[in-house]
Amino acid sequence: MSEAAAQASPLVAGRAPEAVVAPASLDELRDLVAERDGRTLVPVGAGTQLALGGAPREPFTLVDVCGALAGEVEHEPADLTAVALAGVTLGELDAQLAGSGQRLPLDPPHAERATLGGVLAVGAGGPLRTRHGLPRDFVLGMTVLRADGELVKAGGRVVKNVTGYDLMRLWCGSLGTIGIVTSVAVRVLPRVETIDLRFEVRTLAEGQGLAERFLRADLRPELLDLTKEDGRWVGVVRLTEGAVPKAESIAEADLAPSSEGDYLAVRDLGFQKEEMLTVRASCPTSAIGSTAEALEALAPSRLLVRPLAREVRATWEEGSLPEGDAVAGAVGRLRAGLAESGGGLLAERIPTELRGALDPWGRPPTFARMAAVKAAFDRDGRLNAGRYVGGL
Amino acid sequence: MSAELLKALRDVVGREHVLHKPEDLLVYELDGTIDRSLPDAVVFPGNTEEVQGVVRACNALDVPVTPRGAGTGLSGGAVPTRQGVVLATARMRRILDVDPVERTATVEPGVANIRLSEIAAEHGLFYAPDPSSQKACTIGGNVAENAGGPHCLALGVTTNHVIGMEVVTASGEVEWLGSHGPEPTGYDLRGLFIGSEGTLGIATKVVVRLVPVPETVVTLLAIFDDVDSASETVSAVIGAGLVPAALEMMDTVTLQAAEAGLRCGYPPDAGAVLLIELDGIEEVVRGQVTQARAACNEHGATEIRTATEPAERELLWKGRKGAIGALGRIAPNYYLLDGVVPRSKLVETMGEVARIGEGYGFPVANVFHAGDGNLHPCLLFDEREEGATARVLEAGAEIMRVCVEAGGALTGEHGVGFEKNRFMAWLYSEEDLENMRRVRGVFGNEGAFNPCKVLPEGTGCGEMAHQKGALAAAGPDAYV
Amino acid sequence: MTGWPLIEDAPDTADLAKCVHCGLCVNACPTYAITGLEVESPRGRIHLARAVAEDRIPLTEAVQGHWELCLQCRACEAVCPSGVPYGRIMERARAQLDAAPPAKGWQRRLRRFALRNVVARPPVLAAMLTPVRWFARSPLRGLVRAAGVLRLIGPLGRLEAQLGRPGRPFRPRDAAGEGEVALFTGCVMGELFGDVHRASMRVLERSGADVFAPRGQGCCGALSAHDGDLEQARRLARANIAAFEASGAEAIVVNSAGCGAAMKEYGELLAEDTEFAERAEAVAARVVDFSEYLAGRDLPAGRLGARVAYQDACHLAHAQGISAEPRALLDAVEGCELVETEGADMCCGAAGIYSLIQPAMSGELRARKADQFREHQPDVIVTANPGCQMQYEAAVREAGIEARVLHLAEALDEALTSD
Ligand SMILES: Cc1cc2nc3c(=O)[nH]c(=O)nc-3n(C[C@H](O)[C@H](O)[C@H](O)COP(=O)(O)OP(=O)(O)OC[C@H]3O[C@@H](n4cnc5c(N)ncnc54)[C@H](O)[C@@H]3O)c2cc1C
Ligand SMILES: Cc1cc2nc3c(=O)[nH]c(=O)nc-3n(C[C@H](O)[C@H](O)[C@H](O)COP(=O)(O)OP(=O)(O)OC[C@H]3O[C@@H](n4cnc5c(N)ncnc54)[C@H](O)[C@@H]3O)c2cc1C
Ligand code: SF4
Ligand code: SF4
Repeated sequence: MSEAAAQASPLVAGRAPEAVVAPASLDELRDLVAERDGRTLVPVGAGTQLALGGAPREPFTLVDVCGALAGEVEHEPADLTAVALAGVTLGELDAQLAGSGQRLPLDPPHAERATLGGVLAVGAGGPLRTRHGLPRDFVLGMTVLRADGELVKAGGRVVKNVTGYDLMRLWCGSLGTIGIVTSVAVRVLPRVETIDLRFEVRTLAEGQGLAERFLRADLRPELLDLTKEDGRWVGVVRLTEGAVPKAESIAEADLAPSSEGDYLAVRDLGFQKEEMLTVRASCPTSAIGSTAEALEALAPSRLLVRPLAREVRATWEEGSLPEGDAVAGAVGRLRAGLAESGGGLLAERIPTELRGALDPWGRPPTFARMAAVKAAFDRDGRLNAGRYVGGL
Repeated sequence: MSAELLKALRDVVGREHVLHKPEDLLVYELDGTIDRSLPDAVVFPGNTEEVQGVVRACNALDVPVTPRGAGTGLSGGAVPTRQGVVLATARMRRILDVDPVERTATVEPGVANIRLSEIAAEHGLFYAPDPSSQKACTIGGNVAENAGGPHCLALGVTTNHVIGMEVVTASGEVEWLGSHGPEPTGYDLRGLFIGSEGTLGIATKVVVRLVPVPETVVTLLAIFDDVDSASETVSAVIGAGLVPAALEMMDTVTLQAAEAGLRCGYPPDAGAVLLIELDGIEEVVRGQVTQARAACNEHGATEIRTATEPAERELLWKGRKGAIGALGRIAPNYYLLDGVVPRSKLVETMGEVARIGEGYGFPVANVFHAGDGNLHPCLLFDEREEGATARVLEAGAEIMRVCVEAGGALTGEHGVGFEKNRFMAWLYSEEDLENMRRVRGVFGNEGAFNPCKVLPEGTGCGEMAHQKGALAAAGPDAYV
Repeated sequence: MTGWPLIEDAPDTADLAKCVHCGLCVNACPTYAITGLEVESPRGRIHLARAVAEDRIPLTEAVQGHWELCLQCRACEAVCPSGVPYGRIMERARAQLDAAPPAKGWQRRLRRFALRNVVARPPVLAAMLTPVRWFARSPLRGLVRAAGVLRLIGPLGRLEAQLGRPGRPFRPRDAAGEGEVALFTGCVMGELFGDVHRASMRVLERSGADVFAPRGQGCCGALSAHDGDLEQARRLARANIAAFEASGAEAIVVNSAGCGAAMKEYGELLAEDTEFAERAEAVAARVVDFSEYLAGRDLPAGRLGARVAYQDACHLAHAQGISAEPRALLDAVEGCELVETEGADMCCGAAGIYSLIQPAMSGELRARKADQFREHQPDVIVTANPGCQMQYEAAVREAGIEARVLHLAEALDEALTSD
């Protein structure tokens, strides 16, 4: 975490740390974790995603891992793989990969500043997940520092591997509750020439229809996001050049060139500020319409649908926040409705005034098994205790 | 087997669904690989409740349970290492739902992999992971092994295509891991279960993702004088920024076997061939084909055949999919290995593999997923020769060692099973392994559920290792 | 050490060793499809044979039972990448059963008696089948069927259920002469399905062939071989070899898939016979299936306005690898709409005398076909094996649809005559 970041946001979900430490090396970090001083440890990468989740159990120490986990990226262009320490930012990694015409197609909000460890810990993807999936889909191997100070690894650095349990998937999206990611091997892809296009449709259903046609016609859009603007739906789609003529012929809408700004706007939508409410529903295709409608009833500032990734995101800016009861009620109903399909609704960003009203995660049916996972790897609940699902 | 166990099993699934006579059990002592161990009983539950009942009954009596799909596994996963009960999913073969809107199918675990694509076809969809054993292997077995296949290079393996499953855990609880489509909240227990080789529980329902059938598919068969130039071509294709749908290599020995057995038009005198498949919309594929052909030509392809019609492409693939089995035509036995190396180490590793084969006097056939560095060297031997089995196992271990030393892994798709668990220490520290062992605890496996698989040691597993030695010594009695 | 009672006709260890127990064959196996039991799968049966060969287990009644449930359809052989000669292994495994402690000894002996003394002897067969044929055509049949009398007398009832509409018999003397193409007339085939032979003759002639039926030929021996009576099978093979050698024909056209498969393997059957080995190879090399022969010739298109469901005969598709040719011949017929039913290449359960011995399994397989017919509602079902035709007649009744069952030759003949 940069100093500026530490000063700007010393709070984790509204709570202040008792101390902020920044070990300079992996050994120091290890010693710190092994110490068992009874405090909760909150690892921080770029320090930008600390609003996510519940408040840590107190007292807690903020552990800036960037210094300890900074270093060279080992990129093997011929193997399409790279190995990096978790403190490396996606921006740094991308710069290096670009040198050989390759890339890691992950674009969570504010991707350039986010650290690899943080991105994997949160596990969420951006617009590119439409084609490329989530961060976990790129991880080949990982080393983590367990709560007892042991460094353990799983996987390897080859692109296909089933040697041993797939702990990488468990670690990804665990918000740093069962280990601090120290290094990661990822699979990378060749860069491709693409074009971003913008279109407008009247209804969400039309937009979904277009997305479905593009998919069925094998156009393989890298991203396809729909946002509501002044009563209409505006779409951004990224295609390879060769796919454009066919896209135009089946779009049933005008495809116009789109600017980088359009893309960044959908990528970062919901994460522009600390004090805002952002929720993301993951739902079946058939429930996208009704979910969007239910959220729209609460008059969000912006509404984003990522139809092929089955994602609906709504965000409220300060000043136009909904009533606590209303939003809690709606979130409760949506969660109950999504339960059958196994989907969920995540409050990714909760402003201070609504913190008490909303459970950021909801409680999945497998909670007991998740608690067993936490207990197996962090018996005393030291890492990020209180922040994850059900207070794990 | 105890009368108590037999009664308990019969009470759960009914008399006719329990096998216990020695003759009936015999075939359940093996899967597709070397290890053998006879179960005490085989049960065929018909639904989730019965699976749960069997697991609970066995847990109560402290009897090991080993799940079994089609038994095509290549690492001994379905072999009941410590005897006990084999739980076969053969009666659970129903298709529960195909949903073209969500692009998912929900099936029981005993459904054969190929059925998924068959039922999806009428909706213009297919199920991407296509192990060469797809006509036989079950989706439950695929989930357990995180199976891959030739078409996994661009589209990913089982874990990228299985969205969720209902499981009966080793502790006997019924639980959904993952979802029916959307992304669930919390730890990715689904991702953890996939590839756990049937040690954490039994998948009783599986939801898979179906993907649209590509608009245009072109398969190239490029013929080379030697493996080195074919390997260089692989690098060149990747270097050109292409991610083909499939990129497979076969060497001379394999080509000869495939041609002898399957008559698919392969050039039997070539040193190596590459199968390169490109798909997408025609406008895009056309350019990619040109690029791929250029890469082949540049690296000494003597001939390139292009297939666009389904029947022609199928013929090219027929040989690849049947290649491993076809080796049975040129040698009495083969020992199939599954190792992974970084793509850039292909040439070097192949040389080492050949050297090891030569050293032991076993011809080696190579057929593999070149695109992702997943090697399948097959050592050809005759089990009836004194000590051959023991030596072939030794040679196999040496090859695994070479893969590990090249920065690779012990298995790319067949799993660790019982076969390779003793090599795990080459890759992982004691602490790493202990860490993995904790996963078993999370699902209530105290070592009795599909014992001795994935991780080394465990009580009672020694006998199998010993049996392995005995097997080798037994000569003609032992086979691969 | 080995547990085979009849060493000389035991499955070859090299054949058994070819099975690498990969399991790729299990789903192709009808008995596995029905039971879900690997003991009732090719791999299971081979593994048992291996265990007996290695003297790990005795040749118990249970083992025999698993082998007897095998249809010998050879679907497994067709998909086995390792080239395991399953058919040969199973014939030899069954040959052991006689010498084994009699499980259902009297049944087996009775069956063998029938195969040796009735089926293989044309005059006796003819005499035996005359009343059957008469019965099948008589109005009495409907009455008896309605009364369900035959159900009570077991196998006979089952045979009755399978009888189609037997026509006039066709015997070699009906097409004596000489020429370049010899028609194989067989045993049961000639007696019960004379119409198929006549249709075959006409179609072959339309393709420009000069066809005749050489004298001295008889049962191909397949039924005996499948039942493990290799000695009898060899005897019959030798007689046919002599007859066809004498005929001087270039091609021996067979319209019964089971016979064709057996005859193409005469070389293997007589490999140990110093006098006949080479001659057997030479005759076998001349054997072609009816559709295989026509595929290479010019046949007028013909016309048949019908939805046609072609059902592969096991010994054509699996043992001879012929599945495209019959379909192509039908496809070339004007007005013929080919419908592919699921499991068209899976055994119908007739399997020679199997349906009489294993009625339950046979019935399950027939029911699968019936389900498909009900779903696809074809007008005509075409196959290429006499036994299958009877089974399909029964399946059609079971499905409750109005469809005719024709041999490929009959279908083509009809198309050509209406042309
Ligand atoms: C201002 C801003 C806001 C964002 N808000 C959201 C959001 O609400 N939702 C969303 O999906 N994405 C959000 N992102 C996306 C973000 O880019 C990535 O998802 C990622 O979380 C950011 O990485 P980081 O280094 O900033 O992580 P941090 O914010 O430092 O940490 C995120 C989480 O990961 C844990 N963590 C960090 N490093 C490690 C490690 N090495 N090992 C284990 N755990 C670790 C932390 O304890 C914390 O729980 C936001 C990004 C920015 C810049
Ligand atoms: C010729 C040949 C080619 C092959 N090609 C490939 C290939 O290209 N790619 C590839 O990945 N593999 C390949 N394999 C290996 C094998 O087919 C796969 O591992 C397959 O996934 C095994 O499926 P199965 O149903 O046969 O499982 P089995 O062999 O019966 O069992 C495998 C494992 O799965 C467990 N299991 C089975 N069912 C369940 C269930 N419902 N729940 C939990 N655990 C379960 C078992 O306990 C065991 O550990 C090949 C095998 C052969 C013989
Ligand atoms: S018979 Fe062939 S396909 Fe079947 S298990 Fe043996 S080798 Fe495999
Ligand atoms: S011959 Fe037919 S019934 Fe017998 S094992 Fe092979 S496939 Fe199964």
